[in-house]
Amino acid sequence: METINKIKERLRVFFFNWVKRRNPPSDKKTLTQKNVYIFPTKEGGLFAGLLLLLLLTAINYQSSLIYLFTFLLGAVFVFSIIFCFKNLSGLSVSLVATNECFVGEEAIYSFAIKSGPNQYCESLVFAVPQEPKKRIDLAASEVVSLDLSKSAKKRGATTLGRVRIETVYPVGLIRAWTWLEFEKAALVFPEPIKGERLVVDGRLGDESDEGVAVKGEEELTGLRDYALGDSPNRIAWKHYASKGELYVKEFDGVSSSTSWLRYFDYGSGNKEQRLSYLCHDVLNYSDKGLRFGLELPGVVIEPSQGEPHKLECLRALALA
Amino acid sequence: MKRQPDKLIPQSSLFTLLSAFIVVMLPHYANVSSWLVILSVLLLLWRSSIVKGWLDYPGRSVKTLLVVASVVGFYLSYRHQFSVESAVAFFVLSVSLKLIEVRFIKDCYLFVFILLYLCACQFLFSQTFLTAIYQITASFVTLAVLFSLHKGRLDIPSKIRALEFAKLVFIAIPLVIIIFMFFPRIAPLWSIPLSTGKAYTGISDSMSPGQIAELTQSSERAFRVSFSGDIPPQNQLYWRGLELDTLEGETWRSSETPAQILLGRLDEVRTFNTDDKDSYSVLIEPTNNRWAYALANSSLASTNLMLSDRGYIRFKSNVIQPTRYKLTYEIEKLTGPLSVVNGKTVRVPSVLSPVEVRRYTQLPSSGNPITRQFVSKWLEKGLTAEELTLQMMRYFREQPFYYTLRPPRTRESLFDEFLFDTRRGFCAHYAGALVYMLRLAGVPSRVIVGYQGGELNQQEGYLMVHQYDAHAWVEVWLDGVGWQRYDPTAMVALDRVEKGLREAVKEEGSFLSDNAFASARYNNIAFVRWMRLRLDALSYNWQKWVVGYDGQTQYDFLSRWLGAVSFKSLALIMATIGGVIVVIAFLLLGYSKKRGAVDEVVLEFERFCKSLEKTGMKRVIGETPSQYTQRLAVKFPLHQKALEGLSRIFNDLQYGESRDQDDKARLLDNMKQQARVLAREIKRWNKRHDKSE
Repeated sequence: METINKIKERLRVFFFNWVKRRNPPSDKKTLTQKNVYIFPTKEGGLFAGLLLLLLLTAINYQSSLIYLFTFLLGAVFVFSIIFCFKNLSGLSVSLVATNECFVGEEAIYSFAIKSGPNQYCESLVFAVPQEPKKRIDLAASEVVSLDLSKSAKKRGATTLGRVRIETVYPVGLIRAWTWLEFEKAALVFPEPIKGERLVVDGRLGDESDEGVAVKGEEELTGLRDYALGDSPNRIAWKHYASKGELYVKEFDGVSSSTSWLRYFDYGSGNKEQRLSYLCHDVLNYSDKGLRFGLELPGVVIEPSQGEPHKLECLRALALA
Repeated sequence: MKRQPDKLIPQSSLFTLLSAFIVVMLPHYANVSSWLVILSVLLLLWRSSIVKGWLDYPGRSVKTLLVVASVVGFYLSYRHQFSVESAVAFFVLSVSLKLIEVRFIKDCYLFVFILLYLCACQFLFSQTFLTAIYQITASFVTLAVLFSLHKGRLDIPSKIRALEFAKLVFIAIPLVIIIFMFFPRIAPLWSIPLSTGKAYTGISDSMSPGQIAELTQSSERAFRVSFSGDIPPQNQLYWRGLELDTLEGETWRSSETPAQILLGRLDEVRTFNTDDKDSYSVLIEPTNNRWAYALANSSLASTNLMLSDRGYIRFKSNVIQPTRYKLTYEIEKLTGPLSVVNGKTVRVPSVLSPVEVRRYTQLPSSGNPITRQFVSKWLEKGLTAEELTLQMMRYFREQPFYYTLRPPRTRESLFDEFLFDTRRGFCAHYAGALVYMLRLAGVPSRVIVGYQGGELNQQEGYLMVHQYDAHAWVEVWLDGVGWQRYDPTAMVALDRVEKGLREAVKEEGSFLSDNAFASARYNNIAFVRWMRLRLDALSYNWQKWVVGYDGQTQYDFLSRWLGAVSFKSLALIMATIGGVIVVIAFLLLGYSKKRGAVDEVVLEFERFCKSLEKTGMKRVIGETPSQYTQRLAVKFPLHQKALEGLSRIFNDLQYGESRDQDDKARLLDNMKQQARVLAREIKRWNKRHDKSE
């Protein structure tokens, strides 16, 4: 049984490699006869059985009209192949944007789907393995945006994988489908997990959630322009009230002195766990508006603060 | 992949579903038990109430009860019958039960498929033009159920939707016609024990007083005949069916058994040629037996026929469909019908074998004393068989005999009373009495039943032979001559033979008197007559070209166009034509709309990749052109610029904003040139590099 499954899996891999070779990943796909596959559905198979039964009836009763009727249904079957194919062909599918998320969240891939001229594309079903299917309809030359999501299970640049676009229009006897793969990846950050830091720097060594908030001992050294993502805690509200300008207070002292989040600071954990701990700390520091740098094997991000810095760090973690 | 939950049938499709059920069921209700009809209608009402929300789906126990009850009911009403009707009734029952269960989209298919099969089954009961139109419409409504299940949610007007569906169905019609014409007709794969329990009108293999008179009240069609040459005169149109050679009491019977039919051999079939002056083709209505009606001295010209060992023309199997057959005849030689001797068709020898003499002079040993005495008086005169026959014919003419469809009932001795007392009767009486007398005189003779005459359809030039043309006449064996036809009815009512039954019973007013609605009764009204002939012509052509388009017709038709056709070449023609049509349809539907530039770009790039395989830089599966050229650039830094350029052009062509065709073509040419030069250079560089290492 196991060997059979193995063989099956091997065949599957072989088959999809072939599919991929025929239709290599890219971000814009137009469906043509090269990448659309057609086969009867289960119901289509049953219908073929009906045709056979009708033919047998016609032969055994020597009934011309039953022959005629059989051929009529048979021809409808044949032409539904063409209609089904036509329903998919000419459709262009572009992956226009992807999002960034943490492991355990949904990675979202935004598509722009455009139908060919003079042609409806109806009842198209988009299926990503293990995800719920989505159904759309397009009028002629219409562009529809569609978000496909995929639950992010692994850190890193994650492509959507094989998307199956299928339709059984018009009568459900024939299925036309295509497998598409796209290049653009969604970035999945590690799952934030609180970790134990062994190596401490400064007073934040034994860091706890409250540990950072030792504001009283900080010395205000000056104001700087507000940048998007700065913590509201640090906005100079008094100044804002009097002058109407947004400034962020800069602190000096130990707490404002640069903290470094380092890969090897954590006592335990494999790579993924360490990245998760780092992720947690990056978010934590950033939320508190602290200035920090990130050091990963081979990657060093100079200390800074604010939203862009946070994202830079998270991306580095995702790709480490 | 996760299993998707079953989807309910959308409300809009339910309406189509119920309409399809009604349309398909209606004609079948005529053929099934009345309790089944009631059950089916009740289930339909129930299902409609579910749609409306008045009632709920039946629970499991109710369903079980329903199934058990209806199966028992079905068993009770159909247990004695294994026929088409019972099979159809079974389908009607199952589809009706399924109706209250159809809930999810996945249930619809089986339901729809059974309905489609039921549409086809109706053709086993009726094959008229109207039936065909009705059933094909019904099947379209049924198919529309599937269509409605899969249509999109776009707000498209229903008119356009209907058009889309019609396109799917009607685009198929040319293909259907061609397949119909060329699809090889195969002989039944196994014998069919199922036959419709339908009662057929027509001649039977026995004749007792009154039987033919019953038939003459039917205006149903027996068969239609087209002659390729001139139509023979009315009084020559004796369509021989079978001989009644045995008299039992007052009933004449045929001693021909099915086994004797089988004993007959296939006569040499003359190739039918429509130019033959002496050929004719008959389209016979179903009779559920194997008799074919033919003029005397006819030879077979189609392969669905054979000759029985008594020289009658028989079908190879029972006629349950309107069937066409072809014959040729020789009008000059009126004597000596064909027979099969030692596998060869010969004229009947002018001598009867002792067995045959016994068969054709058989009589009950007693009865009808007056007739016996009457004949023995004639015998004393020492007349020959021919003279004797003529004497008897004259007797019918000279005595006050009347031709009537309403003969008085006889009490004891049929022939005594008929010949000497009532003297009223129709063909069966005259023919029966003549053979009785001849046999009393020891002359071999037999009653022949079949049809006589036929109504000319002037518009199309064919003959319509109706059941009321059923007739009985006599054949007498004359030594040295063979069987000779005598029709005693003509002695009494010449009109019957010259002009048909209508004229013969004009005064009596008995023509189709039981049948007030038969349009043939109102033939004197010009418009009714015209309409009747028009409709008949339509139905004749329908039957001839569609219903009766069997293996034989197909063979004749195709060989006229293509010369001799074999089964194999038919299949070949079918495949070719089917293929061509599908290809044309693909082209028409815009299959090839956007071939060209895009594919050529990919092709060209693949060629480029392939030519570099020997350098050890094979393109990895899934590698995009940009990734590949970057990898190449690392290994062949000298060509980095060119490689980058190539991938840029490729991407531009493949994914760039739309350019016009000329621009694209120029760019493609450019790319081709670059790719080829680049490949050559790299390969050369690679070779040098290899050697130096």
